[in-house]
Amino acid sequence: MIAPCHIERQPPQRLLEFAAFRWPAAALDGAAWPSAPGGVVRDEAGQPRLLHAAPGRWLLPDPSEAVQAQADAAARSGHGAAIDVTGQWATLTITGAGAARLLACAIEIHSVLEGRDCASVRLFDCPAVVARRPDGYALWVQSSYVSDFLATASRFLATLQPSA
Amino acid sequence: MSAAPARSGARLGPGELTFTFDGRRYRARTGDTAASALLAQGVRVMGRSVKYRRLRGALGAGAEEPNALFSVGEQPLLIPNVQATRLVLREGMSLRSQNRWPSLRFDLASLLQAGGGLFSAGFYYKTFIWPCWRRYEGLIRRLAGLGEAPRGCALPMAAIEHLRCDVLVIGAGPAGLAAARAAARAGASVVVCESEPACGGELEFESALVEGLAGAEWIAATLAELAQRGARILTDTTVVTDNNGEFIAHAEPGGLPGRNAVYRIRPRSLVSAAGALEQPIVFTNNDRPGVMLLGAAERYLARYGTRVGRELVLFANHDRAYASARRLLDGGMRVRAIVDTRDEGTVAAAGALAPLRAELAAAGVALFSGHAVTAAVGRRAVAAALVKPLGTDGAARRIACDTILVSGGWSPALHAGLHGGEARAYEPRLGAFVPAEPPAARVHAGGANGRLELGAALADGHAAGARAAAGTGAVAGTDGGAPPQAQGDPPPRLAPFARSPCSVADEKRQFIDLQNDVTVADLRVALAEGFIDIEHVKRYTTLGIGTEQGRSSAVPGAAILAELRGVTPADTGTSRPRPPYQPVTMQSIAGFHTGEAVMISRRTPLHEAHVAAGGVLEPMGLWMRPRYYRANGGNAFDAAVAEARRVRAHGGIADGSTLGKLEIAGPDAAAFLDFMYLSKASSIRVGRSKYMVNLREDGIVLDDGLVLRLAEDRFLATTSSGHGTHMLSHFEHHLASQWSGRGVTVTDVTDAWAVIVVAGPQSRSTLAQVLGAAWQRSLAGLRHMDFADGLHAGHALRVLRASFSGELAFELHCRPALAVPLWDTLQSAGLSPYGLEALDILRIEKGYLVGSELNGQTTPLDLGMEALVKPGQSCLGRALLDRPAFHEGTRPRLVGLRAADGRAPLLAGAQLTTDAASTRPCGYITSSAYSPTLGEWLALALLARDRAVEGGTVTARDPLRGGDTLVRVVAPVHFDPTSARMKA
Repeated sequence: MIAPCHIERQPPQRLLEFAAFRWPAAALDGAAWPSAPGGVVRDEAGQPRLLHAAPGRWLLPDPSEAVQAQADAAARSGHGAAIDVTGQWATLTITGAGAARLLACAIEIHSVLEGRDCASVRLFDCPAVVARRPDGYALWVQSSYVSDFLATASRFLATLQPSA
Repeated sequence: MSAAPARSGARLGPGELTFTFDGRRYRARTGDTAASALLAQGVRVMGRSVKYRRLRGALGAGAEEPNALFSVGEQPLLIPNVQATRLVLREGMSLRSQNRWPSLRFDLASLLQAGGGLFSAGFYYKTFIWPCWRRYEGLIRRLAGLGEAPRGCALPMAAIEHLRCDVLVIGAGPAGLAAARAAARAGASVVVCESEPACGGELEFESALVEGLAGAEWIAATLAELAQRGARILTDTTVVTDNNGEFIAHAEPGGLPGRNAVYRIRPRSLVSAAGALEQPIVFTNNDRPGVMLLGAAERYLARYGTRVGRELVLFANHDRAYASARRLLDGGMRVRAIVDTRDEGTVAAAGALAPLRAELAAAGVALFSGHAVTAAVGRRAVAAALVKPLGTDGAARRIACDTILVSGGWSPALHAGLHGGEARAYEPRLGAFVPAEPPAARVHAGGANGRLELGAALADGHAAGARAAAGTGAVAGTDGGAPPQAQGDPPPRLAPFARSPCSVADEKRQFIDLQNDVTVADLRVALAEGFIDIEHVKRYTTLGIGTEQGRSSAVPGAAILAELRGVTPADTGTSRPRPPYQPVTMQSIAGFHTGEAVMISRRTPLHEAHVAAGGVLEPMGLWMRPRYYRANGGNAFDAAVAEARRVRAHGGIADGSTLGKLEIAGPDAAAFLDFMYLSKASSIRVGRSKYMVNLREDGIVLDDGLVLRLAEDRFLATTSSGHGTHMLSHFEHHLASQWSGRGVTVTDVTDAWAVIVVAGPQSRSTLAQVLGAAWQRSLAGLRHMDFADGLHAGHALRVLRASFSGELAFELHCRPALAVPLWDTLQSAGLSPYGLEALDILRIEKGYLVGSELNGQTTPLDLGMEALVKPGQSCLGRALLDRPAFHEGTRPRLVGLRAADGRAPLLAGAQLTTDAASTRPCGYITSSAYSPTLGEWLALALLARDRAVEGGTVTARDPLRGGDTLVRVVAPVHFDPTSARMKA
């Protein structure tokens, strides 16, 4: 049996994506955004707030006014475009000591996050962005897939329980 | 029930249990395998062979077993082809032998044995060809061997784990454990896969001292150290294949499918220490129950306390047989003779062997050097061995015995590496093939590397582990220390010997591959018919196919083929085994893709609303979409007709959330879309939308949809539901390859926007009522293809006036959170949902493409889109649209069809011919529907351009469903050709 593991769907949140026209986007460094893919900026509680999820593409969950202003400024100065993608991704958390083992049913998470804090992945055939958080992992699963994602994760959780 | 004799063995637990075999009850000890329990109770016949139905018993004691395959349980959950030698018994287990009818004792098909000469290699290919092989298929399938497939499917989903480690060690025998320990001591993370339920390999039963400890103690100490260093030991787990550096391991605890696990392991380095497989020697009737591998007999004795026979004859070509004989004597069995194929001079050359041989002789064991067992005697099981001197015409001796234990040497177990095409070289010292030049980051060790002596195997394993760890760059923990020193059996001094001499007639009973009934005679036939290469011989004779994969047949097969060809085994080589190394259940291969989850599905935000409204959902691509709603009719046809009729009369709502949606942003967005689409996006004004078509590079239509201009530098492109992901890739490909560095980005916003379609004459008035005063002016001012952005209930809302039904219609684009409240409000306002079937009716009536017209073969000209194709366009695919072939009269043309009699149904898929006498199609119906508006069946079709003349007739031919129907060719737009309703 694995250590405890909890999957929770979080309330809907505003989501912004910023896509750079060119990458590496040197001009964005001034905005204190993680310039290397996989980089994450966190808030005081350690929760991911700005994820460089793919080369030249940042996911901004629940963006603060300051982050929003940075995105707008970067867009105005011709570095890229900010797209409101609220609803595109469902936010989940997988917490507990068994979180990595559950993810290992789909990927080897330690390899995927080696030298980085977040990554775009496919989990149980579902497009997702995964990031470390203090108590486990944060996931953004594409909304239309989330129902099947949760069902599949539950089936795998059952395989990890001791046999009757 | 037979009484279970008292036994003690390393793997036996204290408890007792009962099980049944072919309906008879037997006792067993906990920890027993089916084979160990049955052999202990004198049951030697465990099945029949697959082709000749000859009686067979267990040859081995583990994964190498080709004969003793059982069916476990009862239908509908019968599990076939389970190796009795691996199956750990549980209370009440029901086992059945295979390849027999009506019973194991008497099998009708075994009468075929009488015609054994007929059933040589290629028999089926040569015989069952007249008048047609299908004539015989049913009979052959009934006679075909192996177990019956389960009729139900209730095996639980296999657990899956992706693992990474510095060093993966395959095999936890002495070499594997030494390798794992050395690697772990060097600081490497280590995973060990062992196919047996316990670690240690032959150390489990060999009387050996390692580092001053008895074998079992050294195993326990090493495992404890490995655990302390964080290594993972996976027992009951076989590495079944190498998938380009990802090693797939399959765990099947107890040898029975049930709680299986699949490990996908990516190591930085590999130590292959899977040991060596003992090889049989081929002689006449070597398949009789009672003929067994010598090592297997030792395993049964040490692990389960099972004596495989009472009177034994040992037949071998190496020194180890003498030590084995000693242990078997000590175990309470009588060894009648040791038949050694080597001459007396060779045997006697090892002085150290002399005391043991003298001791055995004194114990009554007859020692034969330069002799061979030429045949097993006995009808149903071994009753005696015929022994003859080699190289002379000496008379055969008959030695009464119930068991012949054979050992022809050992073949390194290289399968996991061989699947990747790893090279092997013939090693005459072993009479087997050893790894040659393994690829980087792979090391073979121990028996798998041809090191058969314990000390050499341990040293080899130790060195391999250290080398593998060093290759990973693991930070050194402690020094790996000196290699383990051991005192065990001396080197085997083996002299290769594949088969005993016999007459050509007897070669039909010299079995090389027991699982597939391949004999020496079969190899001779194959050679006579020109199959010389080992791979061709394998395919023609079935040598080493199936789950056997050459484990016990590859080496003798190569040697015997070499003998028949007059070459050496180095010239013939062995055939390349295929994965998986051990059978893997389909359940394990499928992973979570079983039952309803066989394919992942996508759901719209309105999914639950559709279910609550009685929607019948079906997969369309990955999406689950409502086909129709039960409340509107008892079947799809009635419901769809009612829904379509209601939309035309009043109105209805549909879920359009599945449309793909891509947001294209940036100063170069318009130019990019001008390149990607046939029409100009740059000419769309902000607040307007346009129907646009994408072409592939070769001019074929890829997709169609609406493009909305949200701002000067921002567009929303919709794609058809099934093409969203593909279109995103298509856009991104051209963005990266030709537009890199330009000011444009593409972002998938499919799931960010739910879409509710409101269609019908009452759509505008109902929307005005639902959206309230704030939207009155916007709604009134929207022209066809206009859209307006605003807020509703505090959420963003976009209202687009566009129609795919031919009616006045609007699309409401909203965030998912607003979708359900808005849907409910629209229903409360009197609009009922309609499904895909009704939408198809509406589209076909209006002549809109349904989807099957975009079949990857049609151009815009084929689809009647001449208005979109203009000279001077420079978009993707446009240049090749001018190919002459796209303008020939044989090209298809989109047309409408109606039955000439106005009544006959028209079905999609029907082929079109010029008349009833013609059999050459000139087109086919792409989509069809019964139109409640027009009271007859309507169809869209692709018809050869030179036949696509309105007013003409063709014949729709659908022999399987509806026969021939005379149809009229009409314009594709069947209803409201001026679009007066849509633009109202």
